[in-house]
Amino acid sequence: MNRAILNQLDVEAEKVVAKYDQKKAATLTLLHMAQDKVGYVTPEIEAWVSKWTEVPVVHVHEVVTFYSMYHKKPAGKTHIRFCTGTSCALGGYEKILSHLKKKLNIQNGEVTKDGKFSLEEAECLCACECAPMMQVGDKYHMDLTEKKVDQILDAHK
Amino acid sequence: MANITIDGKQVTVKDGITIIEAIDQVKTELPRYCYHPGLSIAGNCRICQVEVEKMPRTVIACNTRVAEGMVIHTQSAKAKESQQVVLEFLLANHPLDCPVCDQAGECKLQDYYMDYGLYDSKFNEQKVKKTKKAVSIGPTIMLDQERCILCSRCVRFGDEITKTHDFGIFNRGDHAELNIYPGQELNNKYSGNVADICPVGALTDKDFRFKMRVWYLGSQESVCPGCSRGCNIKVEYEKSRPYHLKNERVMRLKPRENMDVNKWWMCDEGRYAYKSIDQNRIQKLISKENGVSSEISWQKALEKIAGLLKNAKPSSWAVLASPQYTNEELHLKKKLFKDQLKWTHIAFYAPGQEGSEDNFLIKKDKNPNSAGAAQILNLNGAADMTPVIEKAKRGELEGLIIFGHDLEKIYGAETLKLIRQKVKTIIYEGTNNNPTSAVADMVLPGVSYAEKEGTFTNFEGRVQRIRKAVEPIPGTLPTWDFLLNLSGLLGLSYKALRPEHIFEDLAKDNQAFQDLNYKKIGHQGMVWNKK
Repeated sequence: MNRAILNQLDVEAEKVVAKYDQKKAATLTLLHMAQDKVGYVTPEIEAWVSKWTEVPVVHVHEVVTFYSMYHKKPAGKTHIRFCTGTSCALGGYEKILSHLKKKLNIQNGEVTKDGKFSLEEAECLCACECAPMMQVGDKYHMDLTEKKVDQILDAHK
Repeated sequence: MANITIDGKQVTVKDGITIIEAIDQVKTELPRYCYHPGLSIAGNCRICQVEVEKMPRTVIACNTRVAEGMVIHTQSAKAKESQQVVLEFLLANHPLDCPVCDQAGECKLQDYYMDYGLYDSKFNEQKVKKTKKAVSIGPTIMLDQERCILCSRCVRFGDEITKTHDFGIFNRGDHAELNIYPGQELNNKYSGNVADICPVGALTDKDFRFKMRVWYLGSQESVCPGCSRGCNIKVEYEKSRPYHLKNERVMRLKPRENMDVNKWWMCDEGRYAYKSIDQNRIQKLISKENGVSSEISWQKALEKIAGLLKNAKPSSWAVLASPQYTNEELHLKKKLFKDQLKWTHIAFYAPGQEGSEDNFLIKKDKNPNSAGAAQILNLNGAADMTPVIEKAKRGELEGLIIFGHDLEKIYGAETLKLIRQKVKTIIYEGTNNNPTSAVADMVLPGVSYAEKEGTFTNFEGRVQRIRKAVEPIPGTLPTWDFLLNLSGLLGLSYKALRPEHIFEDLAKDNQAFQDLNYKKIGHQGMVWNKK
C-alpha cells in the first residue's frame, strides 16, 4: 500500500531533490510529502527518503523523532494541536481543553475511535495575541471559547 | 607554525591544529567526552573548556584552532569552573548507579567527577528516565540509555569508520536518547570498538560485562595474533584477585594506538579470540611408548628427542614449522633443522586456511608471522606443507615434528589417520589440544603468545614485539626455550638466554633484521630492512 503511494511520489521527489545543492537538504520536504499522502511516517517512508537523499536511514529516523510535526503513528483525519503556552494559559485554555477532550473522548496523543480526530498538546504556536488558540489541520483558530470549539468540530465532522 | 603558551609552557605547534591537539602534544590532562582523535569533531559535550587570554569567555579546546601568541590555561579558576558547570549539566539526568555499573573504574564521568564534581548538585528536578536499560543491541554490545551523555562518538564511529551507520540520537532535548535503528542490530566486524570509545557505561562489552572490576586487571602490551595485520593490543589479565576465576587469566583484549598499523581500532574476530589462552590447553608432557601414555619430565623428553634426531637420516624426517610462532622461534628452527641437521623437508605454510578479508584491518592470512617465517626459513617458494604430507602418506618419512598445526583441520581426518599409520614417530609441540596432538607419540606443551616474549613480522614487514602478560602454565615451556635446550643437546651453542638474545643472533644472520633490536622496535614496531 505504502509502496504504491511512494512509487507515485518518485516523480515529484526527483524534482524536489533537484532543487537543492545537496541531496540531504531535501529530507524534511520529502518527509512532509510522504506523510501528507500516507498520514504518518512509516519505516518504508524513512527508507524511501533515505534512498532519495542518501542520508543513512538511522539519521532520517533522527530527524523524524526530533521534529514534532512528523507523526510516528497514525493520526486522525483531522489533527488538532492545542496550544498550552503561557499566553493561552493566562487566557484560560485549561477549561477549553478539558471541554475538547470530553467532547472527543480522547486524551493527549490519542485518536478518536472513528479515526476522525487526533489531539496533541503543543507548546507555544506563536499566536499569543489571540490566545487561547489551537491549530486544526493547517488552520489556526483563535480567541477560543467552548462554543467556538463545538462549531469547529462540527465543521470537520 | 604557531607559538602558543599552554599553562605557562611555551610551545611551537603546527598551524591550524586545534587547542586540544596542542594540549595532547604537551601531554597535559584535559577532560573530554565527545572528542576522539580518530573521529570528526562534534563539539557537543562541552567539557573541554579552556581559558584563552583576551577572549571574553572560555572556549572548547576541541573545536578552537590555535593562533599565534595564544595563551591557554587549562587549570585556571575560570577554566575549572566552566568544566565544573558543564559536568553538572551532563550529570543532570545521569543515574547514580556507579556501584552496579560495569564501567566503574574506567569511566570518564566518574573520573572527572572526582576532579571537578560539585558533590552537592544544584539540580532538584526529577531525572528524566530513558526507556532502555541494559538491553542487548547485538551479539557484542549492551546498551544502557540512561547512562549515555550523548557524546555521539559511537554515532560517528558507525558513520565514519565502519560506514555501517548503526547509531542515532532520537527525540529531542532531555528526551534525546541513543539507540540503533528500530528492529536492526549492531552487527559489524568492528562492533566491539564502540564499547572502547564510549566514555561512560552506556555501551558495554557483553563478553567482559561483570566478569571482573577493572581495578583488578593488569595490562601488558602485545600484538594480536589473529591475522597478518598485527594490530597493536593490550592483553588485560587478572592481576590481583586470588581464588577468583582461577582458570581464566586473560580477561579481555583492547586495541592499542599505532597510527601505522591499526590506529585506535581492532576487529571483533581478534578481540574475542583470546579464550584459547586459557581453554583447552595442553598442560602435560606426554610420551607414548608401546601404546602406553605416560607423563615425563622435560629433561627426559629433551634427551629422548635429541637421541632420535641424532640418529635420524636428514631426508627421512620432516619438520612442519608455523607462522604462528615468533621470529626468534623460527630462527632457532632454521638454525637447528636446516643448518645443523641439514633436513630437506621443512615447510610452514598450511594451504586453504585463508579467512575473510576487508579493506580496513582484516587480512585473509590468519597467521601473525607469515612474512617473518618466509624470510627466516628462506625456503625458496617451497613453504607449502602439502609435499611433506604426501611423502608422509606414502610412508617415506620416519619421523615428523609438527609445530602447532592441526593436520585434521587442514587435510582431513583420513589423511591424519593414514599419516599416523605410516609415520613411526610423530612429535607434536603446541598450546591447545586437537586431533593431531591426540595421536602424537610425544606431546610437548608450549605457551601462548600472552605468556612469552618475542616478535612477529606483519604483512608489511613491520617487526613488532609481543610481551609476557601472564606466567606460563606450570609444566609448559616456551618454544624458544625448548628449542634452545634441544639445540644445546645437538651440539649448537648459543650465548642466548632470552628471546632478546636470539633476536640479536637473528639480526646478525638475516639481512632483513639487520640493525634491529628490541630497544629500537620499542612499543610501535619497526619496518625491517628488506629491499
